[in-house]
Amino acid sequence: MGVDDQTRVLIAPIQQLMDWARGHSMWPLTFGTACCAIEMMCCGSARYDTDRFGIFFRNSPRQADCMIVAGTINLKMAPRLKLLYEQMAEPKYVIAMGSCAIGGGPFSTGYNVVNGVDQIVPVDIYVPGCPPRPEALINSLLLLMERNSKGERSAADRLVLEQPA
Amino acid sequence: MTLLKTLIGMLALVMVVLVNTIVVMWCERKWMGHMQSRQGPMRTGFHGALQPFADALKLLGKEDLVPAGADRILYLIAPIIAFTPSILVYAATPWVAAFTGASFDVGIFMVFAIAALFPVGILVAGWSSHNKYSLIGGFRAAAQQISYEVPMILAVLGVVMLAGSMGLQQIVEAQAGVWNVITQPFAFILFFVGMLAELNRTPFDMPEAESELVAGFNTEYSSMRFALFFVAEYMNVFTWSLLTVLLFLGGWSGPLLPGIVWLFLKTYLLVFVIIWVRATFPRVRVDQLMEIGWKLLLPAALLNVLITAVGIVTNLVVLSVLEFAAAAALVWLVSRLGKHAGDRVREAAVERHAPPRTRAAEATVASTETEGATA
Amino acid sequence: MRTVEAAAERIAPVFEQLAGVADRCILGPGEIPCARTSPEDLIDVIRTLRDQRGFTHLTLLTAEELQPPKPADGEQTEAAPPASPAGAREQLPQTGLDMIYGLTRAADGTTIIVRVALEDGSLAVPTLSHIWAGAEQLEREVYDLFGVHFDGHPNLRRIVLRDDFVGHPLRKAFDTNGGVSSEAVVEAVKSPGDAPFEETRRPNSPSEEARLAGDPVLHSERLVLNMGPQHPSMHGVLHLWLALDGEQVMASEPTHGYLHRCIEKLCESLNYKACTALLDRSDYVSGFHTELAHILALEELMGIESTPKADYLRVMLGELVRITSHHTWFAAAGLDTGALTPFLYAFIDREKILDFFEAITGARMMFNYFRPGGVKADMPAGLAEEMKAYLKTFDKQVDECESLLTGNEIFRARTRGVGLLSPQAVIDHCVTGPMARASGIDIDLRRDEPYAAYDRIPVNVATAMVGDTFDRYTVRVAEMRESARIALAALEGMPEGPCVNPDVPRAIKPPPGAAYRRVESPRGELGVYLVSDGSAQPWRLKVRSPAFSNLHSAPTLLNGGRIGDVVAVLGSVDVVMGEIDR
Repeated sequence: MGVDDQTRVLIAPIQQLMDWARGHSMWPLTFGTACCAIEMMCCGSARYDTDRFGIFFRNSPRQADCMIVAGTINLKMAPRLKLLYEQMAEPKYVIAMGSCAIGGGPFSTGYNVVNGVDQIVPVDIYVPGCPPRPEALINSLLLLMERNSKGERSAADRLVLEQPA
Repeated sequence: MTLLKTLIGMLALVMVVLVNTIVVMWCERKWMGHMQSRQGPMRTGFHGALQPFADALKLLGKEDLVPAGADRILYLIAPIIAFTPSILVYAATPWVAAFTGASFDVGIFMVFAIAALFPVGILVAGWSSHNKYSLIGGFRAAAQQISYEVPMILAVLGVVMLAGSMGLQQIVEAQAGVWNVITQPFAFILFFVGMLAELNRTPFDMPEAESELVAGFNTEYSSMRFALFFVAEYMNVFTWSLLTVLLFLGGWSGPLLPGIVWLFLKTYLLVFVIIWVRATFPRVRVDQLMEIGWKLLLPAALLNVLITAVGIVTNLVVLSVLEFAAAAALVWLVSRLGKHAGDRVREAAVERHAPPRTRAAEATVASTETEGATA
Repeated sequence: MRTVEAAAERIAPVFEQLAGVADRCILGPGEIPCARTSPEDLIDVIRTLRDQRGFTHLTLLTAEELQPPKPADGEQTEAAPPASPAGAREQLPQTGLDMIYGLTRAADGTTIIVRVALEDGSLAVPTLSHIWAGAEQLEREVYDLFGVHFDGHPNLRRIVLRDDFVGHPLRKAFDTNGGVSSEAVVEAVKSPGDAPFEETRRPNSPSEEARLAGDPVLHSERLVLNMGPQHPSMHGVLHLWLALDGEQVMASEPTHGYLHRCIEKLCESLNYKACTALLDRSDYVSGFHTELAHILALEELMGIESTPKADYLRVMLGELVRITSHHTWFAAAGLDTGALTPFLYAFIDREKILDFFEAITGARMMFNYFRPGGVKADMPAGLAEEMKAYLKTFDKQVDECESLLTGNEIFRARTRGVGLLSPQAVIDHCVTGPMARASGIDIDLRRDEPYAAYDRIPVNVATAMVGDTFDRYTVRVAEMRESARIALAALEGMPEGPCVNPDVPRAIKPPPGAAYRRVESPRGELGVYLVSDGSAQPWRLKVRSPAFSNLHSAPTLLNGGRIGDVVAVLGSVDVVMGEIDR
């Protein structure tokens, strides 16, 4: 992009600092729809305690960094999912938790179930399982934070950047 | 030269306050974690010490959203309105005997006057957000403010009567012999309860009320504007703890250790209690909040003024005994009211309901019916 | 022990009285009597049963498409007309459609099924919503999924599917085409799918209309607040429509369907054993109960029995999962009233029990463990001792959790006298489970209709008198203690022997017929109505959801309260959206 070397030298330390901050603070949106939401709740419980890693659930999409789609999304919920995603502030990330969010899971042949939330929002990380164990979800959040600390971009950003001009 | 000194002093003061705010944030997550058999932040810095920095920096880097339909100008300045009084209060706050922002004769009066602006920021935020949750949160903040400012000020009136001055410095000095918490325990309890409401902390966190209003008045705020509300909230926790120490816990007085250490020790003791309350209590309902404010705290605060007057014309021992008795009576009354809340409704409901439907009773009814039909 | 003869004797006078309006018919191999009537006589029959015979509890309201006659029977079958298109409304399925009503007499637990044949081509039946208020929503569900019209229904619109959904999916002619295409998703995202309430919602009564109209003196308007589907206290994806006057709730209505996952339709294409996997996911905080109701119905259809050891295992796991479900409720009850710590305390204990589930079934939540004739596998060696040691100390853990809320003045002030549900409302709204028991209605299927090993293990049923939020709290806490006691008794009394009946055939193909079996889930009466056509897949599988009826009693609890009460009362209803929407 159009940043000259001098500016880059100035920006680099700030950029590093921001990457560090994004790698150590992650506020997911409490967006549980189905069974996976119970396991997502477990992540905040004393045994798993996501607070250790700076993961702190927020209720308002405006203040959340990432959306954990925990559970099945059906045709009635789909517009709400899209709306919530659009309400989140950039940079934003999406974690598809569980088989249903990844591809419809056991309900994929149903008449009302969205087969994968990536048809609606760009997904950064897929966590397989039905439902995934809390450890798996924490691992995915840590992976996301690790990516952030390396300055990698979100799936939404990549969609925009990689679009043919 | 004086100007430079003043500027450096101001800057130093702001830095001290900000650092303490961040420490309070860390304390809350860490202490509450341990109270809930968790660890709290561990990964960012030593035992998560840098967690608030990481959170704040991350918020700085987020998109600053203004919702469609929001009252743009009000929306943008609301966090500033809320944040400014939080730090302005320190203009009149003495830290130790030798270090006071500005020594007013009406220090406590000024503190209350400035602090009263904080809910205005919340109300403006709630109004301008174009969100129903925010709106309800904002209105709750305004109602709460009016209900709790009055008993709080009346509670402080006792302290002012004892010290004979409204200057914070003089109030602390007046406690050299015996702390106000000994002579004014009743006022201390009233002030502490009012303070929790003033801070929007559990059990009076109505404007934010996460389980009811999503995030209350700040539902629509993102990025740095949200961070300002967030910082202001924790800065207020520290500020009001400090003020309570100055008013009731003898300020910087204490044996052996230097005054400033005592001041911080006492302040963080109160911060601990505030966090402890949050980890323990549920939230009151909005109408109960009003009832507690107007029907309980306000008469109690007036009673406190009366008791203090009696104490001043007799002696401090009488005052202390009377105050402790009043405090105990208040605690007993609140406990009784709480334990028996809704008793009348429940009794009426039991009377209204049909007599208890036991299985045995129904079985007899059914069997007689069956027999009747067969016959 | 009840016998088929005794049941027949009890029900005989009922049929005598119904003679002329309803005929006796055979439902299946089970003991549930069945009456067949016509749409014209339906109200008569229901009124007689309810008002004169004490069948006050509406346990089941659903529809079932009739099976095509078997050519092997030698009957003349007409040439089948072309299958109706997916969007067909008003059109009767070629084989006919029956409405199924299940009524229970509270006194002796007798259940009767009333079948109404809709064969006149109109697909219409009179509504029961004026007899049971709870029938209104149940009928909306049948309308949504089957397209049956209810004459005189006050509010007949879709309840679980989008308003713009085409067709009625539980009809056999409805083709799912292997799922939803991505084009359909793109289309669905464009519009919310249900029209705003302000436009479509009609007030249910004149008094509600007045309350909705605003204050005539102040010229005020009502503030309409849509809570959910994404809201921290909506227990998943419940959507609550509220009309507010300041902080006060003037009118409310729950909306759901944001988690409708086609479980009933999908089960029709799965074999019987595979159904348990989906049913686990319907009530995802107490999977064992839905599994068990299905397996009990299946065993009844096949005429097989489970082994004594499996019975005890079923009881033990059912009670443990009830505890974990109540833990989840307890956590929510705390969070909803603004207390943070109960959630963490309750989940510490919950995790310990989940560890036991993992050791026994291999899964924390989605067990898929019950099989026709028994259970999948035995417990690991040595686990029983560990569990006994744990359950003996369980009371102390409940004490610890309780110490946070029960005696707390604020919690008491928030819950006592709030959200009153009268015994009459319990019957009107078909409410069951802890909610009914808190209102003084002493029903518990574990004691009244013993299944598995409950006939060998006594159950003390906790009840309360007032029916407010606090009573529902105390009843559930008492149930946690009682469940631990039952689980311990089941562990200690567990006989030796095989875990699964060796007589069960490998291929599960029950003979044609229907069965309706119920279990007491943490939310109440959970039933499975299972119809077999003799093949390896169920013809129809209907889950009677207790939370569905409990949820729709919520407006009576919420109206007149404050916003703060809304979340506290909803927490005490303990809804699980997966089970409500299915």
